[in-house]
Amino acid sequence: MAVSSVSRRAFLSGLVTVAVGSVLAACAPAAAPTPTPAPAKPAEAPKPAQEAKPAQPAPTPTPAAKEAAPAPKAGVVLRLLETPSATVQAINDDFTKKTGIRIESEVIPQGVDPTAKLIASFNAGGTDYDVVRVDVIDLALYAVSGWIEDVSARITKDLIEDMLPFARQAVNYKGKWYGLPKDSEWKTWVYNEKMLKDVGINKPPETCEEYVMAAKAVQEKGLVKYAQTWAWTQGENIACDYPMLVASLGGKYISENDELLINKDAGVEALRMMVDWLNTTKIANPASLTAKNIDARNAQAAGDAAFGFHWGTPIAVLNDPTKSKVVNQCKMGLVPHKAGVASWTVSGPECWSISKGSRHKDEAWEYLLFRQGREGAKRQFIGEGTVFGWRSLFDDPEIQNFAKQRQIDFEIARRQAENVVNRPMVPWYHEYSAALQLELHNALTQKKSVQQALDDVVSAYNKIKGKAEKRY
Amino acid sequence: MRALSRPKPQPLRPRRVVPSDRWVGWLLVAPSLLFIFGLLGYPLLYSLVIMFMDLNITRPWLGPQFVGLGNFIDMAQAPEFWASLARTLYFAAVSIILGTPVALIFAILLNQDFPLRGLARGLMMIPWAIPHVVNGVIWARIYDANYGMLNGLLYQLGLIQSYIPWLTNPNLALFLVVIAEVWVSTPGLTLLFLAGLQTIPSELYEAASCDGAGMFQRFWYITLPLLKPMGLVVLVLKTISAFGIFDIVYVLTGGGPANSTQVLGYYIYMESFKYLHVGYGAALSYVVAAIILVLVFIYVRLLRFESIREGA
Repeated sequence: MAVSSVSRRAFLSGLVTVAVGSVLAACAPAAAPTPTPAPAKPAEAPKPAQEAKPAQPAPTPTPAAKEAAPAPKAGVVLRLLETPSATVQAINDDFTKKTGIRIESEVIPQGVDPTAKLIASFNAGGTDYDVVRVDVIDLALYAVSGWIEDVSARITKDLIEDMLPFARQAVNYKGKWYGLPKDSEWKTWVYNEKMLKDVGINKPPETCEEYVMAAKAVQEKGLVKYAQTWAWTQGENIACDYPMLVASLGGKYISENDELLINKDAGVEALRMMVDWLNTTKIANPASLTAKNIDARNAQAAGDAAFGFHWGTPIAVLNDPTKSKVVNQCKMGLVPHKAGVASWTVSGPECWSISKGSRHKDEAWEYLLFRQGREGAKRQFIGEGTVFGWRSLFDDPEIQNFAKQRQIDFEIARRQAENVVNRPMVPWYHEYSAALQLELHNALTQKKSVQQALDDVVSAYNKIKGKAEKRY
Repeated sequence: MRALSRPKPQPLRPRRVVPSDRWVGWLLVAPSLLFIFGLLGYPLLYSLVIMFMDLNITRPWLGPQFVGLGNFIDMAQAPEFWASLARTLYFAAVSIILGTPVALIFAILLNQDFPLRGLARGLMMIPWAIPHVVNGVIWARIYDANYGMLNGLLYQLGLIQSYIPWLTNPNLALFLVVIAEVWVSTPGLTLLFLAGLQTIPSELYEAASCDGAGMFQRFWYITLPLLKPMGLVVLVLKTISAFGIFDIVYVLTGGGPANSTQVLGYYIYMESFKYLHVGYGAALSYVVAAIILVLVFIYVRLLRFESIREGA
């Protein structure tokens, strides 16, 4: 039988060659999945005044000009971690046409928290993504960790002044600016006008007392079993609703020195109110303790709740006959509040920032202005209902028309937008939030008294803060 | 043929070498070993190191700070850890107590001869084949307080007067999560028991029948003792999976209400990925691994002791 005549030496040399080749191949820079981006340019001097300009609607170039003008920054690729909607994709395409800068989005499933991936990329130098989405509750952490670019030298006074107060707060930490607002939505109070009229109430409740009376009335008439389903599952949403209630009772949540103030006055009153609604007056659905945002909205859409407190533009969904049984019955209102105190709601805006490690910071800023400036924000609102953070857009006729078509009460929205509270912007937010959620649940399930639960939140907060301050 | 044409005689010990089977074996598994070491071994060793560190990933330039047993001391002083451990032990115990007999019953049924047995076996596997997250969503719908199937069924049967918000009760929520987990894991255990049953020679049953043993006696004196090794495997796997449970809790309750379903897996996730306490999270993971090892050791000792006693 013929036997292969490979010698031991030949075999071993082959093996070594393959191994060395593999190691060298592994060490070689990864092939770019896209056309090679332009090499990193030396940092350009910031041009704040000029940079702000692209935020204004750009004049539409003529077709001939479009063909003739070469894209000025062709070859530059900006990377994002996002699944772009059709509207955003169109904005990206227009930006590429205008500047030559290509936008490459790394798809992330809708609703998936990108934080872990972003933090991993920041720890690897922050070069993976040029433009990053930062939730309001993460801004402090990202800022103190030096992961995002301070854009104070780029942002203009004009932009700052036009931001709604809560959206402005969401892009600023300790006096420095970190980007432009996106998804500047707040929670909207919605009441079922028909149900209220059926029980003889012709205007939405303004104060908390009126709210309880109206809720009891619709329940007593048998229109609903529970007047409202709140999204109070142990999660972030209950940590949003509570600050809103504290503010609506005229309370201050956190001091300028990051001292938590909720275990007294309005803080205690707000939680006591929540406990009462759930356990005493029973106007809150007991299922609220496991309900998420969508459950709360579904309950109202099914006609099982007279009131709702929802994110974004809920009227559009409540008036959609494929999703709702209460079409044209619901109206937007101001959040009920303590008499003599303004109506406050809570927001969850995002800040779109530039990664500190980005090699294309100027281009990234240009993109941010194009996409999250007034014109881009307007397109996103009209295209997909993404709420904007620019005050001036309330006066835009196109936006007003769109809002009218979608039955959004713009007057209410404009008034509510001026009184929107953000959750505490501290680098240890997530840890604190978990402690808050736990203690709110302890009070709501009556495992602890309201005072005890809030004292425990403050105590946990101080402990977390003490530890965290050593870290940051 | 080639040898015939060669003019010179072959040396006594030719220098032609076929790599031995051992060499080829190593060569073939080398890529896998590299991957396994890279993806499993290295992180494992690294986590072993960082459990003695305070790894501040928001200040990567500081590097890991050695804290000795600091993470373990923090753990011992953290009421959340002990509460999560107690919940996990409860979860494991109830899951084993409920899941194992159910799996055994299904295995015995599926081991019988009946029409469409293959189909029944295939259908049985469905919950196991569905991703845990999807199972979590399904059970969230089943338990839904307003529109849930469980409420609907009980209401239609007249067993409840009004819908019950099942998962809002801190004393009940964890038990309901266990039920969901049992539903998911039972098919896998059934499969193991079924494999065990098929190794039992039918002659034993025939002989026992001839000796007048009834169904229960055959089960008690033949099936159960011979399934003991498989029972050990089931116990070990069930314990490991109970200690590692995360996804169903994440989807179904998010650890609530009032942390009543926060088991160790969820606690580790929160500490490591939400609060970024990476060193502490690593320490927690090793403690969980140690607890599982101790439990497995106890199982093995108990079952081996039983076997020796029976053998004697």
